[in-house]
Parts: sequence; C-alpha cells; structure tokens
Amino acid sequence: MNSTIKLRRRRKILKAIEPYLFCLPLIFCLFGLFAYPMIRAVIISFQRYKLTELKKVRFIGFDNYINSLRDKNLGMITWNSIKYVVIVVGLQFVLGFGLALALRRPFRFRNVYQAVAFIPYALSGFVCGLMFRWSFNGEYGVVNDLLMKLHITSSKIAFLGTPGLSIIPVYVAAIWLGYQFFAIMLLAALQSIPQEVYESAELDGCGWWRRLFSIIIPYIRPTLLTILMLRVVWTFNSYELIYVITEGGPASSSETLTSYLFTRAYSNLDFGAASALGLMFAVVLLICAGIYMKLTKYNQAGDF
Amino acid sequence: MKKLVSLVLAVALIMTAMAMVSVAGASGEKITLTFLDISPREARATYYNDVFARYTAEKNPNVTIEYEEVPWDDAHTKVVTMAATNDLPDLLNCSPGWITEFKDSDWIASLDDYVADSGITDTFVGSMKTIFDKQVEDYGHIYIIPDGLTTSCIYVRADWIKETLGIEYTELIDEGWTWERYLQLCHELTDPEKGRYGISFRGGMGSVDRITEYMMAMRSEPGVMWANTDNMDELDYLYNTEEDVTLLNEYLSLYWDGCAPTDAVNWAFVEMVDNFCGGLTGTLFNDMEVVASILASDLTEDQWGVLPVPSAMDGRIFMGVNGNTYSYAISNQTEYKDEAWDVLSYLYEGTNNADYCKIMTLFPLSLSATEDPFFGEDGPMAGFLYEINSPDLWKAESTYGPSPEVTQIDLYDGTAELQKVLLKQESVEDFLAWYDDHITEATKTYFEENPEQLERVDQIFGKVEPYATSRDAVSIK
Amino acid sequence: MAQRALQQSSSYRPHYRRRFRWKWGEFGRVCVLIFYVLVVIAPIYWMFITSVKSYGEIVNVKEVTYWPQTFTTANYEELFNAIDFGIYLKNSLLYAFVTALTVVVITMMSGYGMSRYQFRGKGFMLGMWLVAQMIPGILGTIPMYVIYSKLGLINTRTGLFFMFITGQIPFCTITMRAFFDRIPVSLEEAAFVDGCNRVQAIFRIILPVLLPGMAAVFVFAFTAVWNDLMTCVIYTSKKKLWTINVILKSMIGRVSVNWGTLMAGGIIALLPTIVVFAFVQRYVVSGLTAGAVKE
Repeated sequence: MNSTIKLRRRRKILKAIEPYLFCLPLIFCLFGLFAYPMIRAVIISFQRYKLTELKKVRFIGFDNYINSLRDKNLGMITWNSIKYVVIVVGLQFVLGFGLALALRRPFRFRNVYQAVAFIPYALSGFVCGLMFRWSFNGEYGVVNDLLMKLHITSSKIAFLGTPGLSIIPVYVAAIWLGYQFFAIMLLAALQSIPQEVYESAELDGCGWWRRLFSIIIPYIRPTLLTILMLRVVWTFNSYELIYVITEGGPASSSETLTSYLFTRAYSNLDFGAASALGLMFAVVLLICAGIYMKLTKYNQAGDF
Repeated sequence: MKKLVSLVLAVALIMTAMAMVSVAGASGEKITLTFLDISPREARATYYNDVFARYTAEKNPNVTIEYEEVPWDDAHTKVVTMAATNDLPDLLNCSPGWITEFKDSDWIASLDDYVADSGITDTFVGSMKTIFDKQVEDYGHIYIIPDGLTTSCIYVRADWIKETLGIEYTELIDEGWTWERYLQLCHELTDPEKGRYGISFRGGMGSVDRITEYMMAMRSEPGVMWANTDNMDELDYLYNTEEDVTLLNEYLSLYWDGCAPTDAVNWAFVEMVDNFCGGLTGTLFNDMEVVASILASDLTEDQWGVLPVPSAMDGRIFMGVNGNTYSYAISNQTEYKDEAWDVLSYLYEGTNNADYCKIMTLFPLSLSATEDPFFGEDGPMAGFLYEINSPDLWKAESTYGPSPEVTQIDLYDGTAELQKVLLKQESVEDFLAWYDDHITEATKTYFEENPEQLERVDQIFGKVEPYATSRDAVSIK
Repeated sequence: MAQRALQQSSSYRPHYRRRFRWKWGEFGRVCVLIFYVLVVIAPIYWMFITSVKSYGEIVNVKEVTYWPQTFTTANYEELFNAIDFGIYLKNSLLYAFVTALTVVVITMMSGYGMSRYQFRGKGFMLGMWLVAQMIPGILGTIPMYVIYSKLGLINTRTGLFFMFITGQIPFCTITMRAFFDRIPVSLEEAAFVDGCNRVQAIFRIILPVLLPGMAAVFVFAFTAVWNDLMTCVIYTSKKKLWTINVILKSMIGRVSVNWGTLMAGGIIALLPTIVVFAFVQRYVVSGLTAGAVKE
C-alpha cells in the first residue's frame, strides 16, 4: 500500500520535472551562460567603468545614460539604424519569400539549383563585405564599370566617398548575404502546408495573389512573424559589414547604433557608456517587440 | 525550478574545479610562456617558432614559449578582452597606438629596471637610446622595445615625374624638398584625362595625424603644439589661428581640387597603397612596410622611387610616427616577468634581430646586425638610409596621448569631423575650433583626474626632439 | 476582374485553360529562378576572377578585366603550399559538422519539451531568450570570456565545440519547437494508443515528419559555425585550432590586403558548403505531408 503511494509520488515528481529534463540544455544555456553577461551589462551601465581605470570603478547612477542621450550624433545614427533595418530586412524578406515560393514545387535538378541559390549563405560577412567594398570602388570598381558600359550612368559615382551613398554597398551586401535565411526558413514552413489545401484552392479558381494572401501566408504566419522579428533584432545588432565596408564613414554618415557602440566600447574602452547605450537600444527594441506582438496578435498566432 | 538552477550551478562549479586542477597540474619546474603575435604571417610564424625553439635548446631548457597569433584586424579587440579578464599572454606584440591606454590600465609592465640592469642599451644602435628617452618622457617609464626601426617616406611615380616635369625624381631633393614643393608636385602630377591623381590622400582613420604633421612643419614657429603648459587652467592648443586656417585650407585643397579621387575621403592605408600600386595615384606617404606590396605589383623598378618626408620651412623634418610598427611588451599579469624579459632580450642576440628585420624590411636595432650588407648602402633598403640618418630629422610630438581620450578624439571623432570639412559640410575654422576645444578639454580632464601626472607635465609636452642625432646613430656602413 | 473573366470563360474549355496557365506560370517561374541564379553568380564570378589574377592586375586601374589577362593559379598554390589551408578547412568542417549534428539531437529534445509541455517558467525562458537577443553581443564578450576561462575552455578544441553548440542551442530550440508545433498532437496520441512511450513516439512517428525541421536546424547551425569569426578569434590564439575565416582574416594586413589569396580562400570555402546544402536540402523540402501520408 505504502509502496504504491511512493511509486505514485515518484511518478508524479518525474512527471513534474519531465519538461525540465527535456529543456535542460536550453536552461543551461540561458541561466548558466547568458544570464551572467546580461546582469553584468546592467550593473556596468550604472558605473563609471573604463577598462583603463579599473581601479576607479564606482557607481554613478544614470550618468552614462544621460551622457549617451546628449550625444549630438544620436539622432542621425538612430535614423540610420532604422533605415538600415527596414531596407535590409524588407528586401531580404521579399527576395527570400520569392525564392521560397519559386522552389516550393519540385522540378528537375531542384537540389542542385538550391545548392547554388543558397551559396551566399555559406559566405562569411567580412569576405563578402571586402568584395563589395572592392566592387563599389569609385574609380575602377566593377559596379561603376558596368553602369557606364550599360549607359546607365555617364560618369563614375564615388559610392564610398559620398555621404548617403556609402551605405548602399552595405545594403547590397547585407541583402545579398541574408535573404537565403528567409528562403530556407520559409521553404521549410511552406512544406508543411498540406497539398490538399493548395489543390482545393486551385479548384475553387483562386488566382495566384489570392492563394498567396488567403492560404499560404496565413498558414505560415507563425514562422513568418517569428523570423521577421528575429531578423530585425539581428540586423539591428550587426555591425560587421558596416565596419568592413565604410567604417561608418564618410563623416559618420553610415554609422548605425551598433557600429557606433562597437567603436565606443573598443576604442574608448568605456564599457559603462557602451553598456548604457546598448541597454537603451535593448529596451526600445523590447517595447517595439511588445507592440509588434500586440498588433499581430502574436500570442495566438506566433511561435511562442 | 530553484533546484534545477542549483543543479546547473553545481555542474558549472564542478567543471570549474576540474579546470583549476588541470591548470595546477601544468605548473612545476618547467614553465611555458605564451607570446601573442598581432600580425601573423607565415614568414613571421616560422621565424618566431625557430627562435623560441633555439631559446629553449640553448638558453633555458625549463622555458618553452608558445607562439600564438591573432589577425591584425581583430588584434586590438582580442588583446583588450584578454587584458580585461586578466588573461594576457606573458609576452606580446603591441602597436604604438595602444601604449597609452595599456599603460594607463596597468596591463603592460615597466621595463625600466630590466633595461638598466641588463645593460642591453649598449648592444643597441644609438637611436634606441632616443626611443627609450622618449618613452620615459611620454609615459614615465619604458614599456616597449621596438622590433626594428622603420621610417615614413614618400613613394613617387618616377616615370610620371619625368614625363610631366622632365626631371629625375631625385632632382627634387636638390631643388629643396619642402612641404610646399610636395603639394605643388601633387597638383602637377594630377591629370584627369590620363586617369592620374597626384596623391593617395588619407581621408579615413588617422587623417588628423597627417594634417597635424603638415601644420607642424609649415607654421611660422614649427614644432610647437601647446602653450601655457605650466598652468593647466590656461593650457592652450595652438593650431587654431588664422595662419592654421590658411594652411589647412591649402592642404585640403589637394582633395577639393581633385588631386585625389572623391572616394579618398574615406581612404585608409589599404586603399592608399592599392591605388598607388595600381597606378591611380602618383605619390604615397607611408612607411617602409609598403615596399613589399609595390614589389608584388605590376610597377617596374624604373617606375617608382622613394623621397624623404618633406622638410619644414626651416629645413627640419618632422615625423609623427613612433619609429616602429610593432613593439614587444611584457604583461603585467604574468608571474614570470624575469623569464619573459630573458626571452625578450634573446630576440636581440646574435643575428636574431637581423633575421627578423630582413623578413620585415626594417632597420635592425642590435648593433651587431648593422654590419649586415643587407642593411647597407648597396642593400635593398638603401633608399631609406638617407632619411633615417639625416641630421635634420626631428621627432614630432606624439599625437597619441597623453590620455586614451585624446587618442580617441584624434583617431575616431577627429576623422569623422575632418571628413565633414572635406565634404564641405563644415568649415575649416569650425573644425579647428572643434579640435582645439576637445583636445584641450580632454587633456585638462586627464590631468584633473590624474594629478600625479602633473609632475611630468614638462616631459609630456616636451619640445620636439632630434630623431637620430647623428649619422652614427644608426651605424650602418 | 480581367483574370476572373478569363477564368470563367475558359472554364468551358478546361484543356486549353490548363495548358495556357501552365505555360505562363512556368515561364514566370523560370524567369524568377534565372534571376536568383544571376544574383548569386555575379559576385561569386567576380570573386573567382579576382582569385586567378595577379596582384598587379587586381589593383590595376586602367581597365576592369572580366577575364584575367594572364590566368594564374599562384593564389591557390600559395593558399595550399605556404598557408596550409587544408588544416583550417578541416577544422571548419569538423566544428560545423559536429556542432550541427549535436545541436539537431539536443534541440529535438528541448524543442519537443518546449512544444508539448506547459510548465512554469516556460514563458520566462522565452522572454529571457528574446531579451538576450536584443542586447548587443559586444557587451557580452568580456563576461563570456570570464566564464569560458573559468571553465578552462580557452584555446582548446573542446572549448570551441562547447561554445559553438551552446551558442546555437537557444535559437535552434525555438526553431525546432515551431516545427513540432506544426505536427498534430493526434499523430503522437495514435502512437500512445499503440503502446509506444514518448521516446518511441518521437523516433517512430515524429522523426519522419520532422525531417524538414531537422534539416533547417542543421543548415542553420552548420552555416552559423562555418561563418563564425569572432568566437574563434577571441577564444583561441592557437593557429592549429583556427577556422578558414580566421586565416582569411589574417590576410588583411596593416597596409595591404592579399586580395588574390583571400578571394581564392573564399572560393574554396564555398565548395564544401555547396555539397552539404545539396545533400541536406532534399530533406528541407521532403515535406510534412509526404511523411504523414505514409503513416
């Protein structure tokens, strides 16, 4: 009698911890590895914390935050970041979704075609960045040469030396390098749409656009919403291409918040100020994510 | 949930403990030092591995040195990360631009005692004494030993000069090779019809150094940058007068008048060198490391030549570089400083320094190496000898320093502001005023926060120094 | 409107309608497919062309050459003879494969847990993961170095595996979870009725229909490691542990870039991934429905 109760209790406990056992690796990563840097960043952001003056670390309240907000470049750089994220993620999404749709139905040599179409995904950022920097050179870059030969422009354009234009090679590189991510994720999601759904829609005489908007998109909406949000966050937090192609120049015109943060952290070694700046973006991003989730009724539709 | 977290922590703790045990096991009689190279190349790796192996075999069998590397482009980020976590290698290579922040952070050890006790100075060429003295003045202590001596110069297209001016490029020296002449030459060589630009203009990172050098040479009182250094409240950065506005306007006209491509506003070293090698630009101001790139390019021997840095109006030559590109330093975080010093001094024994300098095309620092004909007047580096031995060569004030903030303004913010001027978004007057404000304020703040440095104020703002005081300083036969 | 009218009128002649639409739809699709190939190939072609030029021709400003004037394999020879590119290629492949396989196995567990159970702390974990994404990674470098160095992971191969795997687990778990979410619970319940336990249910029933998800996670983890630069740069200083990216990065010097060799390395680095993609992507598109029908 007693033993069955014990056994039952044991089973109950086992049942209770079962999900945690499944999620153990994730729990380890989040609490064992990610938590410390996050907490640390929050603490440092309220400190005068310069690597060059580690003996003089002290709490200074909100000074780092206030000073960051006073920066005269902040407005322009924030606007640059928004443009960067909207343009890059937007075009990555359109291109990626288009490719996924084109690949949805099987055709001969589809595997080979996919392997070729996804090549950029296997290229690291700095190699790609260097190549585009080289190609967009104002004097002998291949892009200028092609534009002239095709009679699109009559004189050479100094892409990298003109404010407003210097970010274009970064856009191109970022889009070229990233749309495959959308394509892969969306293609995998598209496969989950049962064939019957397509067929019945086709029988109903739905046109291509209607099928896209009333069947395909609603069906993969959870994936769509999730990766769109993730991609926005990741693009926002990437600085490698800017660093490689323009170094934020000329005259800071191509700087984004994250590339700016990198320069502050590693050139000034003022991690207090950098953390404050970084956490402010994070909070703004979180608020945006909250609004996004609310607007898209994410809780019911999203992947989490 | 709580239990789970504690479980995770326990696992982490056990792993930590295991890791610590394994570290303890490694220490014993024999020790392993690490050396971090910040500009890895196959030839360098071979050299260091060989030298370190010989050190263990010949000098001290108990010490083995591990050669570690990091790509140049990420070197600063990595070294800073290692330093901040107390994990610096025992011995490392530093770039001169890092020293201010590294010594302020106490990351690299003072070498004063080692240099004094070992008498190593006697085995070095005369210039080394100047470099040591300069470090004591700038930083209060000796922190680094340069790997070799380098010098800046102006690479020119000999064939373009012959074609446009009808003279050999060397004749320019006899005519009086001043900054004024150099600027004129850049204009003369520019020919948009032929796709020729006069200068590999530096508009990107570090451009402020270049204009500072130019103004230092061209002002009516060359070489002086600061006034009232004896009274911090009235400390005054000088380069903000009408004369400076005119000078800077003249210099930047190189860009505005089209002596450089529009892109050049964002050019750093790589673009400057590539465009000279590719035949787009006629002159290039850079250091000796560039020779290797030129030799690899399509330029033939009679197409290019080397001219010294142009002189100031009073005949002196000012150079802003620290005289070396990489320098050895010993970490303050190591417990084996003595051993590290021993390894470091071994790099200058025998032909070790000469071997290294041949790979890197530098002038050697150890006296014995200067006998090598490779570095003589018939050797491949003869072109630079003239300049490095010139009695007119003066060391310009270090633009890095005294504080990391000043370096920051100089390298990053200054570059962006100067680019605004180049793009005509801002006036020259505004730039000079901005630079004056920021550099003065950063310097004052530094002294406020580090009052102990005030004692050395005279040294920090010391007057410009002769670089190599006589021909014998680098006694290369 | 016009389209609808066309459809209505043509419904009387179903055969023509079908052929007509098929042709135009197919033509459009072929155009789209060609467009994507061109977009991909053009820069790759440029990389390749650069890799077979000499330094002189690469930086030559007089004319842009679309085929090298003198075809040279010197850059490739340098890559394999002087630089020993094979070592780094092998390292990259090893890290990428081991990480991708491990991550697929681990995240199948954790993704299943996150998808099928409701438990306390789940929302918090997801929230925390999201917050972690939003804090710039630069700020985490130094604290992470402290953790890794305390764990004795710096400069070791094991350490790199650990960093790569743990770095990929959170995102891949979320991805895997999404794929689990799309598999109807009824599928497993049917298996339970047959007397399977959860593990058996996973292997027999869910695995076949999960293939696209596994393939996606594999590709994601593989390329993340393949393209990684900073993990290897910051946490290792031993050349024998380096990946191709680190060795390629080291070709950027203070005053010059070894363009030809760098591009040659970039081209070589593409080849293994093309093979991996060609193989794995079959499964990405292998389709949930195909699996479900078989059962």
